[in-house]
Amino acid sequence: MEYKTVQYDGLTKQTVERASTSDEIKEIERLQAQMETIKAAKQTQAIAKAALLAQLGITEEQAKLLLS
Amino acid sequence: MTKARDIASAIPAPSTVSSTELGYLDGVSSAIQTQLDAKTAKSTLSTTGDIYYASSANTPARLGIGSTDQILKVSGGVPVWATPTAAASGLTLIAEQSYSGATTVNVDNVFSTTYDNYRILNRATMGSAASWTMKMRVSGSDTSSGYFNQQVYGESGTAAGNRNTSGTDEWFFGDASNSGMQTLDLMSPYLSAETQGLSLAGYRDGSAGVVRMNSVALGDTTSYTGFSLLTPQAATGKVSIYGYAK
Repeated sequence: MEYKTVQYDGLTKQTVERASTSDEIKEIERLQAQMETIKAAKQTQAIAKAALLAQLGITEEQAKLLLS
Repeated sequence: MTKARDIASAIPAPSTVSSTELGYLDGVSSAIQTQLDAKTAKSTLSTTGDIYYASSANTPARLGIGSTDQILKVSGGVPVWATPTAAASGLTLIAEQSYSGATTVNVDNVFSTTYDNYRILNRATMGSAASWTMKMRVSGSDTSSGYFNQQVYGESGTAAGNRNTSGTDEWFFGDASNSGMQTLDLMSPYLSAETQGLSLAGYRDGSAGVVRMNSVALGDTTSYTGFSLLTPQAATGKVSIYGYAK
């Protein structure tokens, strides 16, 4: 993946487009890892939810109705 | 023979003045010097951008070009260049920046003493769903600690939950996917007070609509002059920064 930084300066009204610095790339990669962790947690939660519904023998809609 | 041209043709020309030169006087009906004195000198406009104006009746004068973003106003009955003052009410556009295929958007020198509070609008599309995060900047560098964030969100017909972060590296700003927008009201980023804000974000991911609401705060009183937006997916869009009139 190519990392690009767009930099605007309100004093000079100038915009610079450049390749991201190594520090900026590090930040983006950290965010990528963070996003993957959230995605994985969501997936785990969805699997656990489906298993629980199967155990209870009810649908998601029925579970929502119970909680309403 | 009343015309200079006729005179010039009729008499032998003196050795120093040619008949052609004498012919140039054709049509002259009053003193030439008086006529010349009534004209403005080209040299009055000495510099690029100069403007001619009358400083009083029949008195041409030069007005040198103003600075970038200055506007022409009237003061004491003559034109002058002036820096526009902040609007008495409402929002004033400070800056607007488009980006294409970017993972980092840095915006510097947009917060100042002119405004206390700001609105930031961001609209973007990305290849697949990803979050925007935001950091405050001063002197062209990101601040990477002390961010507080509380988020509530809903997606696909469900109030899906919330996320809380304290003292972390950045704020969560919103998401984008097929399309996405974020609006943030930011209070006192430049003042010697804690920066606070509230953002609303929405986006479409396939057939799902998503909404996020975030409260953001920074636990220091630094005078921030800008911000950066970061996303793990290359984004294309536009960010606009407005100032609230004091």
